Amino acid sequence: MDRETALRELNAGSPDLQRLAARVLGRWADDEVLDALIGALQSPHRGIRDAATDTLLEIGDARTVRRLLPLLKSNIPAVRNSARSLLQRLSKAAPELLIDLAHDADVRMRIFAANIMAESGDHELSSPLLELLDDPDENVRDAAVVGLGRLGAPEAVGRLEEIAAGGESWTRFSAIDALGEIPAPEALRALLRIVANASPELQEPALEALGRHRSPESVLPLLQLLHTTPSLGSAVATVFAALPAAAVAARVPGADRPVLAQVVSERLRHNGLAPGVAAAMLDLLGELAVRVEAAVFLRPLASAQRPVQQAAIRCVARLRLSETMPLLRQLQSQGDPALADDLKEALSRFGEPGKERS
Amino acid sequence: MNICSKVVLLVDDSPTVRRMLDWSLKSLGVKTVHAGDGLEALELLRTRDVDLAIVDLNMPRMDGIELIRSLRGIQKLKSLPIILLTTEGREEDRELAYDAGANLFMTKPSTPTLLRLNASAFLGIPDPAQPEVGKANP
Repeated sequence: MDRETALRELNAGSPDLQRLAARVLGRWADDEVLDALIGALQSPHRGIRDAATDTLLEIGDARTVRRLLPLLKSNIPAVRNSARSLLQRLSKAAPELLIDLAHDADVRMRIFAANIMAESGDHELSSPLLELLDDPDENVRDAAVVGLGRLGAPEAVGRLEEIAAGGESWTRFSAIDALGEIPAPEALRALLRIVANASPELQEPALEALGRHRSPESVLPLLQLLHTTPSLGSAVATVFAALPAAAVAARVPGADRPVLAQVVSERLRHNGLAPGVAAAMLDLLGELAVRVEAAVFLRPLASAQRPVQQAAIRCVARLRLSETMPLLRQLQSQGDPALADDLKEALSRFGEPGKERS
Repeated sequence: MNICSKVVLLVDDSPTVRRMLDWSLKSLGVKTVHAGDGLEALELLRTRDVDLAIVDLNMPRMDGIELIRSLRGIQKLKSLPIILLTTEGREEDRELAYDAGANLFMTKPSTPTLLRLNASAFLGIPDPAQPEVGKANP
């Protein structure tokens, strides 16, 4: 298909031909072709829009960015979203145009600017996002908060901590969440301060954000928190479950081990734990090496999830909870090969080398 | 926290917003499932039953309006309560949303309390964060 035919088909062909034409036109990146492809983004057919999007991603440049910006004002959400998706991926071609968009008189355009910068992956855009934190519109400010988190911008930590400390709970939540996305020690430290001082309703989101840092540095401060606010035990246990069990256990002073073991045990008694979290908590219990009630393991040992069962078997073996032996023997009699090695090892720890002797 | 058997589908391309919605609905004791855009939501609904969907307007691949239209074309989802939650408060979007079959159009900033109230009304469950009528302000 030559250029003229492709342009003609894109405007008037069948949907299949329009799709094909949208792809073929990628060979020519002149202004007329760009205009035609931008026009195709407004097609009611998803396939045609997708084909035009793919081609524009391949040939897009600052001219494309300039042509896409007006589409953000379209009355058709699908057109706005096609433009937004493309702008996110072409942002490096003309960052100055996005910065201009962040100063648009229309609030919706400033929100789009923040959204696009957020997903651009371009750290250079954290500076205009920081400026948007002072925007008069709350939704723009919120979009900027989220964006700074998405870009992982450590220079925003101070501002985000301020926002997390006051204002609407919605915006405070966004700031806390953004701090959880910034992989920097200052963000971790800010979250630890927030966890200690936030209103009760925001403490759990702060702990959840802290958990995303997966930093053993949080162990000691969170143990302190357990003493002052025992009701957060479940959330703290979940944070610890995201860390390597040995790293947590190594940081827990001997006197605190029974406290943490109790908290983790309580969490394990309840429904609703993801298998990975349950297995991690069982590993942590094993590493803490504090005996807890055997009843804690009834549910994990009977779990339909093999990793949970395996972790439970390892844990009861490590804690030498001989009360669980009948259950372990019962599991062994079921002959599941995925559990065989762990069961053999566990029973041998109890002085019962396993069925192979009988 | 009460635990109930209701499931709420949260559809938003922003993980932060999905986590915020999770947090806002927590006191209702509902279970939530997440999708990052309309196509992901449709895929998820092939295998999961949900009692309420909270849907963003602007999303990549398939936006909220297109999603709602698609859902209303599926027999078993014709009466699924759907809240469209967006920062875009323009009248044409509101009309599009209701024409497509949304049950409620909410604009941000919406307080978690308001969202919870509306969600609990659609789910037919009490909001434990709200005082019972007759017991408040004696």
